[in-house]
This record gives sequence, structure tokens and C-alpha cells, in this order.
Amino acid sequence: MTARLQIIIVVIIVLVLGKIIRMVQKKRLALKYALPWLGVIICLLIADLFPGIVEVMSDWMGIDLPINMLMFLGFGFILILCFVLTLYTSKQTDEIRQLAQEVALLREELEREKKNGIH
Amino acid sequence: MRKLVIIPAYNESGSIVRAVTDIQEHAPEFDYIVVDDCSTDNTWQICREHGYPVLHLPINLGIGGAVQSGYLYALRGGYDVAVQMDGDGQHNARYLNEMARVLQEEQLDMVIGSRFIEKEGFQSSGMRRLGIRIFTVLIKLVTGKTITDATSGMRMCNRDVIECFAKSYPKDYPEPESVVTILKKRKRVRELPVVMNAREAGVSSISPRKSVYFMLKVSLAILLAGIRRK
Repeated sequence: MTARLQIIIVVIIVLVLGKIIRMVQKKRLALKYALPWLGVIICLLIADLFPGIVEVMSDWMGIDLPINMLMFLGFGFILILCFVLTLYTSKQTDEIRQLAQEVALLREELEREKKNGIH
Repeated sequence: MRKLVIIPAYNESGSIVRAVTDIQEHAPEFDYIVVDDCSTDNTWQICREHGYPVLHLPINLGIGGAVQSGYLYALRGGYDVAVQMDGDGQHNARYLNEMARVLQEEQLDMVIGSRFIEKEGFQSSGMRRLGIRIFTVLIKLVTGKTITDATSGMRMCNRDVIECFAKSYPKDYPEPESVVTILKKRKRVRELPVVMNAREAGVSSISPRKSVYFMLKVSLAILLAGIRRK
């Protein structure tokens, strides 16, 4: 990896990191959901600054090309993240359903009481 | 003995009045509640103009969520019996008293109105009947019980089952799956013969395009509900 590429990657990572931190500060992104991304970005930063680590790791895992290990880890991370998001969606669908039902029941009760009040 | 009819309605402005009038005439001792599943037509306005009690869902939940709202209403209102009846005019209220009598006398937990015991009236299309027969086989397989019309939306249940359904009810295409869940809890279910009509207005929730997905999803749901530990 050339020094130039290393620098380009560092710049991109710092920009993205700054953007995410800004979004958390502006409450557009909850810290809870930003954490896994911050974790990944910091891993990338370390890998970029110390390329030796990546080589040692891929050696240890028995993968010939370090890039293949990175692809593998990245793909695994995205799969896990997608699954976690599916879990959230499922849970939220359920919560939204309960809210909607509660709203409908309360509204009916309110209208009934209004009607009874007039009589 | 307080009894409630739950009428789920999505865009049923053309038939809701007839459905409610049918109940008022043929089953006057039943209270009723229309569940308007956030219709895009004026179903809600029509109900309010006529003074029908109505649950208006602020977002469209689909048939499962709508019916479950009705069961929640039944639970909180302290009803002993609740019965589902579609708002599209397919079901006839004249069977309600007989269903309630059988439910009580035989101490059943659920009574389902079935089109396929005496095979009278609207029998649905050939493809649908085939699908329903497949459900019958699957349900027999996982519960050992025979349910001839698992997709019937006309079902009456006691307080026990009202509580079960208020707590958890399948989201879409809920009928067959919920019957299996109830049977698995060792509740007593019986079918009674009823005559249903072809729908008067509105559109069925299951288009031909969706029917493959429908069959797969419901079959899987029946099997999963069948092997689920309580």
C-alpha cells in the first residue's frame, strides 16, 4: 500500500467520522445506533495506519491475500448488521401496532363518553 | 351473558350498513363494534353518521391487527362471547344465536361457521377450495383435528380465547394459524354449517397474484404454530 493511498484513506475516514459525530450531536443519529459504525471506522483507521496488523491477522487465519480477509470480515459485519436491523423493524412493527390499537380504543371511549355526557 | 360482534372493515362503505342492519335484525342481543382499518373510503364517516360504535385505526394494520383490536375491545368491555363477522356481507347474522347456543351448551371454546359441512351457498372458487382443503390436511397433521373451513372469518369464542387473541394474534391471513394455536392449547373447537354469500361490494384482500404467497405463508404458519412449544 502506497503512502499516498494510506493518506487518502485516512482523510476519508476522518471526514466520515466527523460527519457521524456531528449527526450524533445534532440528535439525527442516536449514539446507540452510531456505536457499531464508530467501531468499524476505528478498526479501519487502525488497519490503515498499521497495515502490518492486517497481514499478521490474515496469516493467522490462513488467508493468502489480506484483501480477501478484509472482504470476508466486511461482508460478515454487514450481514450481522442487516439482521439486527430486521430484528428492530420487527419489534417496532409490533410496537406501532399496539400504539395504533390503543389510540383506536381510547378514541372510541372518548366519543362514547362525549355522547353520554350530552344525554 | 354479554356478547359482541366484531366487524373488521376495510373500504366497505358499500356494504357496512347492510352488515350492521343484518346483526340488528337477526341477532339483537349482540352488541357490535366496527373496526375501521384506516379505510381510504368513507367507511368511518358512514359508521359515525349511523351512530355505530366504531374503532378507527389511525394506520392500516391489516386484517389481523384490526380483528385483534376488536378482541381487545371485547376483553376490556368485559364481554363473555365475541364473534367475528366480515363487513363485506359474506356472513349471515342469522347463525349467531345458534352458534352462541352451541358454544354455551357444549361448553366449547370456539365455534367456526363452515361453508363446507353442508356445502350450501357460496363455495368460493375451485382454486380457493383446493387451498382450503390443503389447510385441512395440514391442520389434521399437526393437531389431529379436522377443520373443514380454516379460512372462515366467522368464528365465535369464549372469554378464554378472547384473552388469548387479545394477547397475540397473527398479522396477515390470520384465520388458519390462529385456529391451530387455539387447538394446540387444547381448547375445544367445533364447526357449524353456515351459508355464506358472495361478497356484495369491495374487493377481497387476496388477489390471484398474492395467492401463491398466501398459500406458502399460511402453510408455513400452520406448521410452525403446530410444532411450537407452548
